[in-house]
This record gives sequence, structure tokens and C-alpha cells, in this order.
Amino acid sequence: MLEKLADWLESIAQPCFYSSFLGVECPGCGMQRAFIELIRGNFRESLILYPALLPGILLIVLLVVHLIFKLQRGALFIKILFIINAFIMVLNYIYKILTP
Amino acid sequence: MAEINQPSEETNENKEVVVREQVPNATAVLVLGILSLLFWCCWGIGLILGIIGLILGVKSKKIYNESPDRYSVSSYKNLNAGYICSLIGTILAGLYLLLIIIGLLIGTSFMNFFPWENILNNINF
Repeated sequence: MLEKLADWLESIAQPCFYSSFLGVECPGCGMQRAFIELIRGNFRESLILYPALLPGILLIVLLVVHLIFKLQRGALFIKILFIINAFIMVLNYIYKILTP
Repeated sequence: MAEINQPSEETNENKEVVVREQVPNATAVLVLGILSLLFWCCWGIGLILGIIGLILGVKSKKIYNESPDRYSVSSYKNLNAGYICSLIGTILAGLYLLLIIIGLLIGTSFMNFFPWENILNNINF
């Protein structure tokens, strides 16, 4: 059933507006493909395609859990995870731009 | 969002129950800040979300600082975390937009300097 969901998502995936317009990849390029790989169960491929997706999903889950259950140190974890996420996104983008 | 203005209970040294409100908009600022990280590259959405989060955050911080005893500390921590997230998201989005504009303005010299052929051969979504 998950396979069918992954195939359907792949059929409605939109190309990145930046890359078709300017020819350069934007920092979010690859997020859709990595998400589809994640649904298919390939964690390694998903990480290679877009390393910041897994921490990003973790961040959203942490946010929802913190809002519902009101964790003690929740705000601190969110801050730290947010900064880690931003770092991974920026470093990944620089790496993508500089390598052919 | 019915839980925003419900008071949260804290006890002080005399074992009395002190009821404090939540800082207004704390949850909204937090959510806006984190959403601005997901869209900071996408044509200004991240910038708009981050700026709204920043403005709401500054207003709510002022309200908190006027009478800190009235509001609960945990909601202020949420507000602070959301403020920092919105700040980082706005800065990233602003820098990226600036980079794009400068790249477009420089034009032909940018084209000669940057490895466009390599990038053009790798267009995908």
C-alpha cells in the first residue's frame, strides 16, 4: 500500500521552480524525492538525496509533541534542533553548488 | 487554539497556587518560526513567515516585559524559542534572496565565472 502511495506522490511531484527558471538548484531541491524515498523505506537513499529532510521531520514531530505534552526542556531542544537543521541545509546547498 | 489563554498553575514557596496566563501568541510565533525554515528558499514565503513571526514576537516580548509576573515562564520560553527560529529563518531567506538578485544583476560576468554547463546538465526537481 505504501508503494502505491509513493508512486502516486511521484506522479504529482512538481519540479523546482528555481531550477527550471534559472538553471541553479535551490536549497530545497531534492526534498520531494527524498520524501518519496522515505515512504518507500530507503533511509540511506533519502539521506543521500537530501540530508536535511530527516532532521526536518524530527523537528516537526518535536514541535507537535512539545505543543501537546508541554515538555520540560522542549523549547531548548527545539532551538538546538532548529540550528542543527539550518546548518545541515546550508552546508548541503554549498556542497551541491560547488560539486559538478 | 483554545488552550492559548487558559491559565497554567504554578506553586510558590507558600504552597499557594498561583495562576498565570500564557503570553499571547507564543504558540503562533513558535509555529511561524519553524515553518519559515521549511520555506526559506521558496520565493519569499519563508521571508514573509519569518517577518510575521518576528513582528509578533517583538510585540509579545514587550507585553511580557511590562509585567513579567503575570505570565507563565514556560510560555515565555516558547515565545523566545519561536523568536530565535523566526530570526534565523528570516536572515537565511533574506540572504538567499539577496544572493539571487545579485546573481541576476551581475549577469554576463556571472555567467562566465560560474560553472553553468555543469549545473545546466543536472537540472531536476
